[in-house]
Amino acid sequence: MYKRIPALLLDVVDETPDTKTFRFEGSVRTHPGNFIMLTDYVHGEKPFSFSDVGHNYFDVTVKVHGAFTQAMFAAQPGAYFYYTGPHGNLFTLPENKNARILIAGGGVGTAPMKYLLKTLLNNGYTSVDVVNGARTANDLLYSQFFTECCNGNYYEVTDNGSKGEKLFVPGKMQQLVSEQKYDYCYVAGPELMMKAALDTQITFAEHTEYLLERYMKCGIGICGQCTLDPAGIRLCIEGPVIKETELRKSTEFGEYHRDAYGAKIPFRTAAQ
Amino acid sequence: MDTRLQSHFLGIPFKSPLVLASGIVDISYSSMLKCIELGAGAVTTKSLTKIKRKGHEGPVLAEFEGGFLNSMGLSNPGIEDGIKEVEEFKTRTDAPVILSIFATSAESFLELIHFTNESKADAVELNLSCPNVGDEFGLPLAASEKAVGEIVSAVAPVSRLPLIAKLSPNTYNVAAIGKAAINAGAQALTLVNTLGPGMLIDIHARRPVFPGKFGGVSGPALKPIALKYIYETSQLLHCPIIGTGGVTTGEDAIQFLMAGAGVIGVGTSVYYRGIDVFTKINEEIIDYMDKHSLNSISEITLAGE
Repeated sequence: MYKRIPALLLDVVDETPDTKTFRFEGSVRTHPGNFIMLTDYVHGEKPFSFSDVGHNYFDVTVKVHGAFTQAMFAAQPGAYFYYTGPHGNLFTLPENKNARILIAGGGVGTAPMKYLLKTLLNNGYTSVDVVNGARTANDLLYSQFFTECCNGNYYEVTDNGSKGEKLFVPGKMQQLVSEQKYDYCYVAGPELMMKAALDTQITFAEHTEYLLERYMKCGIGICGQCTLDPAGIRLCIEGPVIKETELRKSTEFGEYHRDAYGAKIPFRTAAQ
Repeated sequence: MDTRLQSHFLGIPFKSPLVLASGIVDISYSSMLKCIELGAGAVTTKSLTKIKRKGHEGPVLAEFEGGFLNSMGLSNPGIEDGIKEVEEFKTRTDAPVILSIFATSAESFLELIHFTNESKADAVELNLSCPNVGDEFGLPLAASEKAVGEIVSAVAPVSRLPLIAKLSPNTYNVAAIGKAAINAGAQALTLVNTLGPGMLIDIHARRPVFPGKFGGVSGPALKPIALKYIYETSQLLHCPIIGTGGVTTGEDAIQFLMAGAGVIGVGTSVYYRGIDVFTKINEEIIDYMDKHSLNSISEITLAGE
């Protein structure tokens, strides 16, 4: 049964000026790509990817945005939140443990990539490169974790060059694939970043998957709020992980999304 | 699709008697289209209002043993954007689409009818019975024969498209209210909207599961109630009925047809059985027709009728 499960908040870590990681007590059977719907029964219910999952705990990394995330930011360890899930599909992991893997994350889109990297390393994958991008040095997530854990090469890029190279994530990906071949590539970040990656028309890897985000209300495929045109993909059920080949068919990706009302909102405004 | 599933409703051909109910995966043309590809005979849009509505804060859904409570709160992008989705849908399929609209007075329904008249929809469903906006609008219109009669008689002469009145199960006189709708010019009824509203409490949090406390009941718990009202109303009125409420299996659908529904709404079971629930129910209806040597949906009736 679809039921909300209590989760005790154990710890809160400041990641960047507007982003925190929340550690909850609880065992979840989940895989990278999955997400939960989290609520306090007062300020709303929102979807979050796991940024880490371990023995009797799980983490979500949250950028403050609206009433619910503000309530989370105000919460202290000892508070309870309530979740449903895990929901959604999974990243496809390579069968070959020696596959060359590239992970690319931008902004808070890096959150699920932390859990993905940890899963790959725990399962004996031998070659994972990571690109981590943000607007500025202050906005970069998990620098220390990636630096210490990544068993391949780790690259940081920032829009203004305040840390790492002054590049956008797709630019760095493009540079890397011109130098070496990857078998699997996973991308998550702001939609226009992912769209720019797709629009390079470069095959980053034979298997490339993107993790998308849409406004979600139910998380269980009923409300229809998070569907992607033109195939009617419900991101909470058939997503949030979408294969590159499927994404190329989307008339919606990078163009518009639907808001809480269900109205189409373009990603690029006329001014941009 | 098996031609034995063909149905006619309001003179419109349906390839299957299954209709996607309003409020389920019906915000975008693409998800409605997917339901058609997976075996729905027609789709109903989310209830549209003149001005867009955000709906309620989540949680908006909660499950219990007998079904679901929902408290979406009539979120929708407004009639103009909603109609654009219908146009997109219609450029890709000739499957029927029912445009659901919500308003609280004859005047405001008339404003919406001016939009629906210009749309490519096949019929208009008047949502007179949303149980989830009581704090905003008071009792649903469908609580009263008089209110239903007034609204429908104001709208019917102006509507280019056939009107279907969607009624509430929360009265003792659904058939009489249905009669008021039909007498006032509705061509068909949708029976029924969600029940209640009801309430669920999370005992760990010691809070109602919805910030707005209450939500309409759908799913299996609603089924016997819907069935009774469909039967009673069709016995009285012999009018076309979209039977909706807890249909999850072919057996449920067959019961609804036997009770007098012309076609059957499918909603919550998209959760129970996946979005291909339409394919599954169609197959189960066909299995029944095979076993009972029936050649058309119209032969699925109670003994002696």
